[in-house]
Amino acid sequence: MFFERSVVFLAILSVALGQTDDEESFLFVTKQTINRFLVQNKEFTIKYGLYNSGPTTVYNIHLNDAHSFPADQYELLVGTLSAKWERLNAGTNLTHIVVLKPKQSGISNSTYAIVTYQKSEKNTDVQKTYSSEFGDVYIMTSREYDRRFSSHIIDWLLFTAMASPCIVFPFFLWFKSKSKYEALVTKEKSSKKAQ
Amino acid sequence: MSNQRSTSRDEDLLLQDFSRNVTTKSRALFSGNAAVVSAIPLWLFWRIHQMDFSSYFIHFILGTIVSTYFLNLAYQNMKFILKHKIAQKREEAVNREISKIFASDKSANKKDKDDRVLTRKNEVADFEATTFSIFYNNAFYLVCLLVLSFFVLKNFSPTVNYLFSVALSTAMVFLFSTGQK
Repeated sequence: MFFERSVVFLAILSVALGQTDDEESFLFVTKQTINRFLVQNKEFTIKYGLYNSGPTTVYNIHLNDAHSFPADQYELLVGTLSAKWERLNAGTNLTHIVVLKPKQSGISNSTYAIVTYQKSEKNTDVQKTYSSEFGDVYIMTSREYDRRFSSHIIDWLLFTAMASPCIVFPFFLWFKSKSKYEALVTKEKSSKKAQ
Repeated sequence: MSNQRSTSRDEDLLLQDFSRNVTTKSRALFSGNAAVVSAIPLWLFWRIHQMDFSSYFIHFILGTIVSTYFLNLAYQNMKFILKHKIAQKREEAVNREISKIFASDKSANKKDKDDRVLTRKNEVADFEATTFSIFYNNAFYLVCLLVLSFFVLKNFSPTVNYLFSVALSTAMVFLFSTGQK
């Protein structure tokens, strides 16, 4: 009886322990841009979201995205493309923001970021995961952006200032002559009527 | 002798009145105005449509030359039509003006006075027709161009936008000036 109970107890224990070993945490990594338009020489923001989905803490998280944004094509303004965190508790998330400025226009393919982490403090096996990607993006030139979105109020005012003399001046000359001669006629008519 | 001279002078005046030919001064005025009005929208196309001069100068030069030429013709057509209408309207007023001037001068005869009236009427009608033609055609051309370029053809490429808006507005101004009776 004791033997049976101990076997059952051991079985339950191993299943419980086994389950703990099998229940691992996975990091889900999202990568997105919060800009509607990407424009050459204008800043755009990339937001990385790391979410720990499992029941355990993960350690030594390292995010590396330098390969997506090479230094010759992008200028890094705020943040770093290679970030490290010591731990991420179970069920929590963290975000990482990077602000970049594209130097060239055209279509740019952005690949996924690589995130490595350890599942436990003692076990130094590194787990690699990939973030989501937002695919091909079109970086428009600053000229095209200005053309579509800039308000151009000053340009319109200057145009009005330049075009008004061409219209107002001839009108004024004509109107002056017309009123002078019409006044001559109406003056005579009114003086005749008075008589 | 004097009869012949005065007859030929009458004929000259009549010819001048009914001729479509413009004087050199008038021609210079019209050409200058047409060139200026054709050139002003280039500023808008440069600043707002972001068409830089180095890549588009051929389009700009072609468009400006075409619109200058047709605007010039439109000015002349409209002036010719208006001149007669205005001359008829101003006859009475010019008569009174000349009568006032001649009231103090007893030595003048009726013939001289009539000549003066005709000349003055011609001058006034010429001036008013010129200025009104320039004003009206300029306004019409600029309004057409703005509407076509910034509303109708807004989403087309800059080249298409420029060429079509200049061509269509020039055509409209020119056809309108020939269409009136």
